[in-house]
Amino acid sequence: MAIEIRNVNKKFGRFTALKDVSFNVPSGELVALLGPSGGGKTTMLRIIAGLDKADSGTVLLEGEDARDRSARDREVGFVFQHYALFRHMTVFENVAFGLRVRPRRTRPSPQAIDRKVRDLLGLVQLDFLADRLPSQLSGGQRQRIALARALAVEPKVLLLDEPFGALDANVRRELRRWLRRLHDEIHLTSVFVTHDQEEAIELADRVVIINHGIIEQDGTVDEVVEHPATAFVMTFFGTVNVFPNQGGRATYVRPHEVELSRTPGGPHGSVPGTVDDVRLAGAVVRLVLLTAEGAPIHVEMTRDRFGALALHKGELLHAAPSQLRSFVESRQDG
Amino acid sequence: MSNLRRSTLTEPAPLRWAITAVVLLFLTLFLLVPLATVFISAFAKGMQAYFSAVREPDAMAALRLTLLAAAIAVPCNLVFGVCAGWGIAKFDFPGKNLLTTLIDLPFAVSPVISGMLFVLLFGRNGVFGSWLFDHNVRIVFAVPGIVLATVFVSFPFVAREIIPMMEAAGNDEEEAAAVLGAGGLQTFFRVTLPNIKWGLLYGVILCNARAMGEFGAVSVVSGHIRGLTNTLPLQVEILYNEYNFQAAFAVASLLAFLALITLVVKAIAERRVEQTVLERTEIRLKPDPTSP
Repeated sequence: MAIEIRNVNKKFGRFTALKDVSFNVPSGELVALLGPSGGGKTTMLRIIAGLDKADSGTVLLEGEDARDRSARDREVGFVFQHYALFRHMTVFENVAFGLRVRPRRTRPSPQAIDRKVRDLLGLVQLDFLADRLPSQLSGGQRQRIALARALAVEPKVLLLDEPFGALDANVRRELRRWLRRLHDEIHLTSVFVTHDQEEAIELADRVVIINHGIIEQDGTVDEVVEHPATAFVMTFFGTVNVFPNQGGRATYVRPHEVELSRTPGGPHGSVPGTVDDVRLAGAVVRLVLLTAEGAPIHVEMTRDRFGALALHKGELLHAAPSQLRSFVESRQDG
Repeated sequence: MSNLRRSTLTEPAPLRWAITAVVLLFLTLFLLVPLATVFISAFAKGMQAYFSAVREPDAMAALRLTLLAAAIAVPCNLVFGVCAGWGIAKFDFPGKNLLTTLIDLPFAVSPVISGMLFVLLFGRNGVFGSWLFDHNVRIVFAVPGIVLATVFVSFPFVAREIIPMMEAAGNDEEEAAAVLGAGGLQTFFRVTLPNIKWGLLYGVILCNARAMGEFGAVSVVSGHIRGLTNTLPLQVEILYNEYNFQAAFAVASLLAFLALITLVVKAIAERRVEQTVLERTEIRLKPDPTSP
């Protein structure tokens, strides 16, 4: 089911959580709402689910205005940040809940419910935990049970709020890949909220970047990484060198787009600097050059290139950007 | 943990013994001795006298009235307390603080004053007095007045007990239930209620204890008509004032029995509440102990 968000505004008292937000989630895609904490992403997700009401603007589910449909009628699955599992119910009952509360005429038979829950527990690979209570599970297990519970009602849309936020790094990476595989299997239209750009890149088809309640950019992962629309997006996706220009604009250069050589030149000119720091980080080498004014220039290159250059600390080199991007300068709080 | 406590948090032995002794002495003097006195005096003239005092028609009437008042007050306050608790803990609305304060009012006001309040409202010369008299409705110096006074003095207990529990539980599970398609009542009975049930029971027990033991407010509205408007505590007072000590203590022992039963149930409920709170805190504090 496709989702369309049209000019949504939301305020909490004086605080503007969302300002004129519009974007589309095409049917069957996995879309990330990405941005720093407090930027309005979770509010947007809750408005799609019907848990919060927009002050103005509309949410269209499959082309239909969902304004008058309460959360229980929207046929969405929601995975809460802290999972919100029913703590007095077993894992099995948690997953069965959405089926058991259906009105009698649409409620599956007890056998059908049993089968469905077992299937879902199999899908999340936790069938052996059916009789446990949520308090007896690890964080990653709770996460997957919350997902199974949301999928049990066969939602048209799956919404996930910081799905990996409370997990440690290894578990997070593993679950991320697992969720992506799951999405490729069932092709459920999904929206997830995250503040981690790596997570968004690895998981999502499209990324909507929200900051201070407005959309900074909306596009495919390639688009936002390769062609950032604003200084905020540029700085949000990793380290960047900023060279202030006149008129409040600045030039932004990614560390891997800086070429080092012993002679000045290059398509966009070059800046001299002395090598201040060298870090070997796996397949890449990270260097910091200091300009004459003492401003750092971050450079990233492959190990091969590093070996070929044979540079050493304190050496004077010329940094030539291979690609320049110019934006109105980013606000400091971004 | 226990080792740590032993090494760093413990006082020297003599001080420990002294503190323990003070507590035990206090408990004995003010709880155990009086309780024992009640039963000793009650059985002072033998079993026969005890049972005849307890079976005496006025005493039986007082017991019935006490149970009736409690039987009305407790369910009323259960329903009220759950509604108020639900409203206060799960929603934001203007006047919320005022409502919370109002719930505490019966704690703050002396029970005698609350009794007076009902006399001023419903008594012969009260605000609604003449209208009620014309329509032949008796509230003060009759059973309805006693029930009203009992409901009033015992109404904060349930709400007070469950509001913190509901607030601690937050709204997440209710929202999850709503998204999964549960209606309001389904959410309440399947999600909210199971999470607060032990706190609720604890509140009901306290409410019941207060309802059965209330003296001041009930005394003012009762009129002390024997066999009609006397509750157990009032009956004890009357018998005592008549120097009928044995009978007074025999009736008092009925109250003591009710209190003891209440205490046992309360101890069980309390333990369950603690367990629930503990589990809850564990869920909240444990970020992610193991891999999936």
